[in-house]
Order: sequence, then C-alpha cells, then structure tokens
Amino acid sequence: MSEAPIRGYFLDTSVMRSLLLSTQVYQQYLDIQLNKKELYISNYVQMEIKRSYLVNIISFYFVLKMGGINTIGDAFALWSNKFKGSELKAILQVIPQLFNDRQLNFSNPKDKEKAISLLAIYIKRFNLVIKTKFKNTNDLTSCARALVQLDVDYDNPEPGFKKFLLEFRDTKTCRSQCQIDQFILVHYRDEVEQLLNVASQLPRNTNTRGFLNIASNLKEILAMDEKACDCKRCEKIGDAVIALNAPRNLRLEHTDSSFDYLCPSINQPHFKHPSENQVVMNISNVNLENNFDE
Amino acid sequence: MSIEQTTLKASAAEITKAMLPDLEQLSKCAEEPVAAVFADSLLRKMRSLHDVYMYNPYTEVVMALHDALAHQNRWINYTSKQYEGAYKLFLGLVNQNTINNSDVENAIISLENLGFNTLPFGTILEDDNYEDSEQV
Repeated sequence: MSEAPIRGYFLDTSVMRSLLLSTQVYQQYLDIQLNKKELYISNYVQMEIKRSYLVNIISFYFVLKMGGINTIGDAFALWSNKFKGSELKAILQVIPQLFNDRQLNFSNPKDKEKAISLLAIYIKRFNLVIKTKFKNTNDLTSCARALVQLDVDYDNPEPGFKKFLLEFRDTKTCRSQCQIDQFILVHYRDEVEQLLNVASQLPRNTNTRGFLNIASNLKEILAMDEKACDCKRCEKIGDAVIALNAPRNLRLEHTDSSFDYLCPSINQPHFKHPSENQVVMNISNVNLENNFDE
Repeated sequence: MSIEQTTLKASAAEITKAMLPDLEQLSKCAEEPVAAVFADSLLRKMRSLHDVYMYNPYTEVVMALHDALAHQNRWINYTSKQYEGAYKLFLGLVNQNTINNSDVENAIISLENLGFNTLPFGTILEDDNYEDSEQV
C-alpha cells in the first residue's frame, strides 16, 4: 500500500520557535528545507510559544516599568541575576538587539520610556505574527490557554498585558474548558497504549530519555484518568500531544529526539532537523575546509 | 508687546509622509551603494517619529519596517520591488490621516508578505529539549 502524499509541513514548537527567534543562519537553513510546501501549526503549538516566550517578554516589560528600575541596564541586570532558565535567558539575548537597533542608551534613564514603548510594540507584533504567519490545523485538545487573547491598546498597553497574563496563568479555568482528557483517554487511547508499549521495550539513554519521561506521564494519566490531566502535566507530554494532533498528511518537522519514538508507531510522517548548533558548526567546518583548499 | 513663539508639532501621519521620498528612492536604487543615503535618512526619520510619538498606530507600523531594515543592516538586502511595495503601503496609510488597530495589523502582515522580516532578532537557542529533561 502506498503512503498518502505529504500535503505540507506541520511545525513542532521547536521549529516554529527557530523560525521566529533563531540566528539568521539557522533561519536560512530552515527556509531552504521548508520552502516547497505550506507551513502549518496548531493552536496548541502557538500556546507553547506563548508559554515559553511571550509570557516572559511581557514579564520583562513589567520589570522594565518598575519604579526602582531606572535604566534599561538595571532591568537586564535584575533579570539576569534572578532568572536562570534557558527560556528566560533568551530574553537577555533577543531584547537587547531590539534596543540596540533603536540606538538606545542602556545607562541613560531618559531612554527607559522609549524602551518600554518599543517593547510594547514588539510584543504586539510578535503576537500578531505568530497568529498569522502559519496556517492553522484543527486542535483536538481545544486548548483554552491557546485561545486567551492579547488585546492591547496602543496608547495604554499595560492593562491588556496584565489581563493576558492573568488569564493565561489561570490554568484551573483554562483546564476546565479544554478537552485534553478526552484527547488522551478516548480519542487517542489506542495510540497512547501503543506508545507505552514502545516505551516499555526501550533502554534509558540520552536519546530515549525525553520520550520515556513523556511515556511515564502518559501512563499516569491512563492510570488516574482525568484527575491526572492538568496544564502542568500537559506541558510534560507536549511532544506527544503535538505528534498525536498532527494531521497524518502533513510531515511533522522537529528537532527533539522524542519524536523519533513518538511518530513511527502512530504512522505520523516526520523529519528531524539538526540543531542550530549542528548547522552553525557544519557551516563553520565547510568554511574552514574551503579556506584550506584555497 | 511680547513675542510668543509657537511651535507646530507635525502629526505622526505627516512625519510618516516625510519618509515616502526615501522609500521611493530606495525603490529605484536598492542593493546599490547609493541606497545607503536614503536608508540612513529613512532610519533617522523613523527614530525621530518614535521619539515624538511613542504610542501611536503610525509608529507601530513604521517601527515594524525599521526593525526589518535596521537589524544587521538588512536594508541592503531588500529589493527594489520590496521597497516599492513598502512605498505604496505607507502612501495608502498616510492618505488615510488616521489609522486604527486593524489597519496597523494589516499593514504589518503586508510588510511580512512583501518579505520584510519584522521580527529579525535572533539568538542561538539552546538545544532546549526542556521537555527532554528529567521531569517525571
């Protein structure tokens, strides 16, 4: 039996994030790889981008606005001293570029107000682009966090940002409105059991660790039913949700190893891209070889 | 008799309108060295608009193009056709005199569709398989 043709590319969060926030070199690599067909995401993937980046830049906006923060530099110093996760560090690498291009002085208190306005404009634009740049597929989880709107007045952004943060962080309400339990326990129960079967036969090593962690959480959900379904656990099984939710006629584009184990048993076409570091290193090596040849 | 000096402040639409000649010139000489003259002039006007009108719908659209052009001097990579598209877009906006949030969003989407990367800021993202970390 021949396989159905691939209609487009379905982006995992790692690839969508890279298309928006990685270096020009890696974006060019992805553009070349993904230029033949339409790019798709789901609301769930959009939610993961909001959770891992948008929420953090809005939080940084409020740090910058604080009375005790006199300069842009003060805000970065506070952020770098107190927040250490990889997603939080991205703020320190991306946002200074925004301010530098506008030629703002990080030590001059007079430039703080300009930075606040610039950041508000950037946040609104980022939210717009993630909503409109890619085609959307049906999200069977009906993730309610994904549907939280960021409505911001251009002349007074703060209330809109605050409302978004409060609603996005209200996971109890969001969970009461989503269908993740039905998604795992009913709609894809057979596939989840297959994944658990695959996991039971794998050794634990660097490659399998992510998948096995996901499987362990899925196992708990099957054992405890909907009681085990909350936004925290949903975060831990995100790759499985994305793989199960991906349309089978789209190729799932990813960088995470877990999909190498998630996709085959559910017949989801997929492609693992090299990491940004691998692509950058590869280009460096090619340049080095060319220099030697010359 | 006292002499009062009155300073008339140009509106955001008027400052945006002042950018049109630079965009028009860029549409004729993109990718040539002389494009630097008009890119420099354009970027300065864009920054002066943000200095005066930090919270204004015109500023939002202008800064979207500013970021696409200013970051890593990418103004040099965009083509005549893209600049022509931007010129027509901004011409339409300034002719409206006032624009709303929906106009702003449509304009930014149009810039993206013209190939301007309005979110050009990037970093080497850590191999952030944070889902893959120990979190059972």
